Amino acid sequence: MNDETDYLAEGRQVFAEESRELLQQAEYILLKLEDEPDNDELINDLFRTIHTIKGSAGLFSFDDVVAFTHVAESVMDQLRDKEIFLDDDLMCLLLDSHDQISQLVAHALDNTEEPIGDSLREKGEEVLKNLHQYLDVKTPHSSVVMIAESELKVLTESEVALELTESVINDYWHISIRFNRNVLANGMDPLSFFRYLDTVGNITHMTTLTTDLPSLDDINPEESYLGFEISLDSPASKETIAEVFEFLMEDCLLQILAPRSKLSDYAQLIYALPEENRAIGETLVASSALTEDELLKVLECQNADINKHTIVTDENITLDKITNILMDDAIIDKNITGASTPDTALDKQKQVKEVEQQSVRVNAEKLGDLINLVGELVISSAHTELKAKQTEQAELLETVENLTRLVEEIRDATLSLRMVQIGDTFNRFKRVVRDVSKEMGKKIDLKIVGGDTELDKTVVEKISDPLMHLIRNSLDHGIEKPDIRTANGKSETAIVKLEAYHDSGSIVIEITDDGAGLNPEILTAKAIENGIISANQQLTLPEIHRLIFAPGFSTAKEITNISGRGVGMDVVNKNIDALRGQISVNSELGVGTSFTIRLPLTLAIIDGFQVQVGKSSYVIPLDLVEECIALDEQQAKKGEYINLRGEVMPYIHLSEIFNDEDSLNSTPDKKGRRYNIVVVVYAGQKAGLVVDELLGEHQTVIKPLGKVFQNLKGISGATILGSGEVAMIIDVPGLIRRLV
Amino acid sequence: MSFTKREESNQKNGICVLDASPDMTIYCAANNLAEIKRYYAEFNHFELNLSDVEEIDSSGIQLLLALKQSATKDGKQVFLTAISNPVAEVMDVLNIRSHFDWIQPE
Repeated sequence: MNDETDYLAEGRQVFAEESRELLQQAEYILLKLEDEPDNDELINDLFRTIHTIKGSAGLFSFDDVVAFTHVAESVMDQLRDKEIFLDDDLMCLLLDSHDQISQLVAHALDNTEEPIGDSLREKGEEVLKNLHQYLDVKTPHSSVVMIAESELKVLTESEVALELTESVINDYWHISIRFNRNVLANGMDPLSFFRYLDTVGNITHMTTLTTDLPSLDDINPEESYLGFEISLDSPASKETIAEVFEFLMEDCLLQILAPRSKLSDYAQLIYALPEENRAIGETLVASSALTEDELLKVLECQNADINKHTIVTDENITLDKITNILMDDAIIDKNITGASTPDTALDKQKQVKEVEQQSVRVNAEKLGDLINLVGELVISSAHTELKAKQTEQAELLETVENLTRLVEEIRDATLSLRMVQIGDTFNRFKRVVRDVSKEMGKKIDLKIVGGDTELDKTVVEKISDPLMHLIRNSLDHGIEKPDIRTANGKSETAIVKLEAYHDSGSIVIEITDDGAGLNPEILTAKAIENGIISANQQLTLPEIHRLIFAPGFSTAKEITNISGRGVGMDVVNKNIDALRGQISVNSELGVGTSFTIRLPLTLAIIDGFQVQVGKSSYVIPLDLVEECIALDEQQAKKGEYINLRGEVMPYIHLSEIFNDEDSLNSTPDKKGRRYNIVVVVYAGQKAGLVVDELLGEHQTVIKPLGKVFQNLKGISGATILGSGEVAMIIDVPGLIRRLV
Repeated sequence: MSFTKREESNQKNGICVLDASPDMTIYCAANNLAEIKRYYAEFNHFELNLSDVEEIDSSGIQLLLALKQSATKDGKQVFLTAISNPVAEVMDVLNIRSHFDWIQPE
């Protein structure tokens, strides 16, 4: 039992991840379709995506999800068959359907016991109503339906045809199913579907038909020959019952008759089934689907109208089609013979396994553990290296060097496991932009650049909310309404650009809009009003712009439902700070605003540059180090700036910042001593850090500082050196901010 | 891997007692069929013991049905003497117990 629940839980986990990905993909496709509504491939993809969600939801009996998805899928199917066309209304409806499916899936995964909430259900009903409008209006399959009707007409108009419009007495569903030969070879066992069917209702009677079964000499043991007639007592809908056989749709001939169906339906069923009519009729009687009397009526009608019936049986394909329409489902593949021979049954399963191995889902926690372990490995390898150097044994040194190189490779490979492209996150904003622009009557074009830029998954997850907030802000406050834009001589359609790129060990994300820009006067007035600055304080323009990040600052004159969600820019700033990142803002009134976010590529392990000040070691992130230069004392005493090849560069003594007495005291003793300056660059700004000694590269495992030290200036973390000593990691961005 | 003939099987009176292997799924279907065909040619009376069957799927059931059907046609006899729980479950799902003749051990 335990195994089973574990197995189920695991399955649900996979479903959760898979459906999230699929839904994301569906949304992406939908938005893409908006630009190219005639792209058949996209429509196909969309249909497949939704279909897969429905299928997997069915496996877990998430009935709400299946029921809703089915209708949405039917509409998409029509779209695919070009029976309806994608206009704005349908687009909105499909997006709404997508949202509804997401919520239903989320609900199903949260608690399968409780019924869905009222608001969710009402919303669902509304969307369903709209979806049904498309289904009702359809002229779809019209040609086929007409064939079907005419066939039936032939039957009823025929002189001898009896009235078969009366209902049968049977209160149960009747399901007839004939599997194609290759169903077993395709890795499916009819038995499992019956077991599943038994959960939808109660199987009151089952007849296994062996008419097709060849003798021992002729049988192919890997083909399927059995047919089944099932009576089912179930309150479920036809759709739900058909869903049971979802995965078999292309591998079987399935007929479902509702309780108290018309006799004519049974008549049709009897011709449609491959077995001899009378035999099938008797089976139906045996399973109490029909009474003897009812069967007689049906068969009489058939006998009297035998010619017509042979036509009908010849037109089996047409009947199949009718069945499909009755079932309101996708077209069955007519290639009953199937491409795969039974010999390939095992091959197929092997292939499936091979494909599975191409990608493995790993619990994020396990990955985190691995990264932690690699961190420890890096520290210990540094320790080993140090000890080996002390022995001065050439052979040992060589081995250790090799080891260190391997550890480095492992480190890079491990960290890359967690790297993901930021594009997926960016694509999610397309929807936001689309919805907001519709809602607010603005015309906005979202441009995405550098979606393939990679960064640590944990960073991506944490940056998503702040980005969302910035974009909403841009859309809400930044972009003007079209009439104002034209009045100001701008194009009606505003452009919001999301761009990501790598820059010296950081990833940079820029959000640029060509909207109204920040108004310094309003900002200052607001800041004074809120007591953030005093009235006589003189601020530079960048300082004024940065006011928007101050806690308690809000300029929203009218609260719309887009802004004013209780998350201010100060929270955005804090979140980015927590990621050891930085945000800056640049704006020109009337031209636009641009936010630049810089984030470290990873949060775990970096290449560091180790330096010494006094007796303490410090580590500077190597990516930020531009060069090292020597500076003599005389120059160093002149002030806080040096001339670096014609550029003015500020510098700072680390010993002063950290008040390192050893270093400070030792300085005057050594005459003519030379200083080392490490030139660091961050966000295009250069600065020099004066240190006593350069120690060289060091693989740095970043250990977060305890709460007590979190507010320390100039330090972003700590690391453990090979010798076991602790070294501080210099917060270069913080220092540069202080200098410039 | 497949059906094992018991030593008590008697060539003279044509009785063949077979123990089915634990696996009666599609993975062993070809093998199982080959074994059955081999014994089918030699004997006229079969007693199948399915009590060791741990897994059985449609292909396994189909094989049993085919054996029974061929036997009826050829005037041979096939009896089931014992079935394991998995086999019983499948037979009940498909409602096919009545397709077979049974010799129930007392």
